[in-house]
Amino acid sequence: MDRKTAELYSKEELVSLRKKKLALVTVSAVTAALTLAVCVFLCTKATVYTSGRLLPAAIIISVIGGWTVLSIRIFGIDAVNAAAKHVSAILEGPRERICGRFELTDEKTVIKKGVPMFRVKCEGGPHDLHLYDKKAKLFDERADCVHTVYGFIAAYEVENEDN
Amino acid sequence: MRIIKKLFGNLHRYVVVLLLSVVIWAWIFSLVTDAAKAKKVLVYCGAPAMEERALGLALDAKKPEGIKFVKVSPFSDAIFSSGAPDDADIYILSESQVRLYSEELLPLDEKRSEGDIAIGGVVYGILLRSAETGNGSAASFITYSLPGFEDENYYICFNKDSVHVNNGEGSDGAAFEVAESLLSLY
Repeated sequence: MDRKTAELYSKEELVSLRKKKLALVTVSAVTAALTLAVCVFLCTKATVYTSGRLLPAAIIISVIGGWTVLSIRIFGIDAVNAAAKHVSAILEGPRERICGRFELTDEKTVIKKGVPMFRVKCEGGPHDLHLYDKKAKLFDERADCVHTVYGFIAAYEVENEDN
Repeated sequence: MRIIKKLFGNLHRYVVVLLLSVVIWAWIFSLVTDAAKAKKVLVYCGAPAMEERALGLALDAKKPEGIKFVKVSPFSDAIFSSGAPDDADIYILSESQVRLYSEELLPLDEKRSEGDIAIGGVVYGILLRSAETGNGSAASFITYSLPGFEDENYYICFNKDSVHVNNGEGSDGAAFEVAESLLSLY
């Protein structure tokens, strides 16, 4: 029977992640610029008699804007950036072929920069491997060989049942 | 769960944004709204009650040229000991307060009217409100008489150290112009 290799990572995915990062950076920059513009506008309207109302307004807008930018950074940009770096490293890194029986566990770990991974047990092979959590659904546990980069599963091989 | 964990892990950053927003904007607003002594006229009013914002805006509308703003604040006997009224240019004081603080007040050249207050032959205040008739200027902004307070005459006085009273180099007399505006208010 033929064997088929299913790739878990692609260059398109990397391009898509980079576009997503650019979009988030743009949204973040626009939010920061708008916040600053509104606060500066309030500042120009402030007098000794209006500052009592305008200063709290400027502070509230500045805090909301600042927190929004920070949240986009923490929950958006950082995560996308880490995912893009991971995908890039996998696409460019040296591949190793490992054969054996693989079991995808529920055990989750977070590697550097916060990319979540599932642990994959390899019976008959020398390694415990990691699988990016977004690739878990794509992984076929019937795989008898996997291609890894730095211990992360980049592709797997299965018997081609079509033939 | 991961989001909450991440949120708490970055809590210090959110607190820093909050604190920086308060400190930076408070500082910028104070820079924008405040002015040097020579560019502002400060009025301290010792009446029992007043609409300080409305009075301030009314005086600010007629502010002398070169003055950025006129500000009215309540005067209490206690703040004299804190040194706060050192910044003042004009005081609105009752007769008893004028007698108490006359050393801090600018002696005026002559009486404008019979009602003006003189202590030991030196004029210290221009009559703003007469307790006898109950009539006074700026009465729609200042409550001169309240139950529990002694009904007294009120006077416009000037800080002897003010930079706006024509008593030294660089003085512009703006305090007198503001006093005229005060006298013309209803």
